[in-house]
Amino acid sequence: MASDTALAVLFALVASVSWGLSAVCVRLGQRYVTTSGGTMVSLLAGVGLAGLLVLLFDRGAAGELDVSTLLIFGLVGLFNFPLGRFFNYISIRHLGVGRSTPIVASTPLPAFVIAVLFLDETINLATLAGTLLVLAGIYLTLRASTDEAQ
Amino acid sequence: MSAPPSPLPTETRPALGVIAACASSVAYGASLTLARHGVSEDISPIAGSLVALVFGTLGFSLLAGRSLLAPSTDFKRGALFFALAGLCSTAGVVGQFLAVERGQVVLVAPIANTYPLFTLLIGAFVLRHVERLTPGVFAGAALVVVGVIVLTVG
Repeated sequence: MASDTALAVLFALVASVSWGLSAVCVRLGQRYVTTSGGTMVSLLAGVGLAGLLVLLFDRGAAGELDVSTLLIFGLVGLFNFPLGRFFNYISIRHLGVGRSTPIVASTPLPAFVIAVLFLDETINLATLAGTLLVLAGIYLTLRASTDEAQ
Repeated sequence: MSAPPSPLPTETRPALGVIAACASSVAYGASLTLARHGVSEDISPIAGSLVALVFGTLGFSLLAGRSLLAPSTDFKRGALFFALAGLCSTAGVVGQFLAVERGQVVLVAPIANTYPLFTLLIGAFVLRHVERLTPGVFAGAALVVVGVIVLTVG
């Protein structure tokens, strides 16, 4: 239905703007607290919001959890947050959002490489073109200058 | 009225930043692959996100250890920004899940993956006193966004 499509577009835009704003907030926060402390605060805020949403919309979720599901999501969390998010924030600290964000945004590229190496994913013209575009974008980003504002 | 606290020292190490960015991308990529191929549809995405966040927070507190106690110049102000960052990240994840529930991935993924451009657009205004964003940075980000869209949809 057209209304579902419109809502899908709207929610996707909300996601995009939210993630865009997140990196800017990190850059601002790093002027006042350490990256480690700030990362912990961001994680706790996320737990709070996610917990509230589960309480409001999915209270029966606890009953759906089995050991294997817990382990898988736990592993996803360990990769995503202590590693992914913390290193993301470190990169913003040292590169600024201008050069850090495009590199971190190339996430589908290593995901694709992992899938090709371990999950029998195949390479086609589109994935090859996408890979080259991402690499070209990263190169251009790193060559660009983002000096500290005077 | 006292002056606001000075920002933390801004000594940077670009090489470390590049390594960290690449490591972050790989970690996110591994997480994404694990989620796509290992997660069942029996649990709601937001509940799964909560579990992942809890484990991630516990894991990070163990890894970070005493570095969490390092001094800051203005904890309240910094914590406010980082809390907002965390809320925005979670809101983004929720938004993406809600989008995928109502539309096809080939429509949702390209739109969601434009976030670097929003970072730069917002940053150009909000961070103009902190960081200079040049046309080259925008061009590089645009190429990465297009490449990710082609990679995701292709």
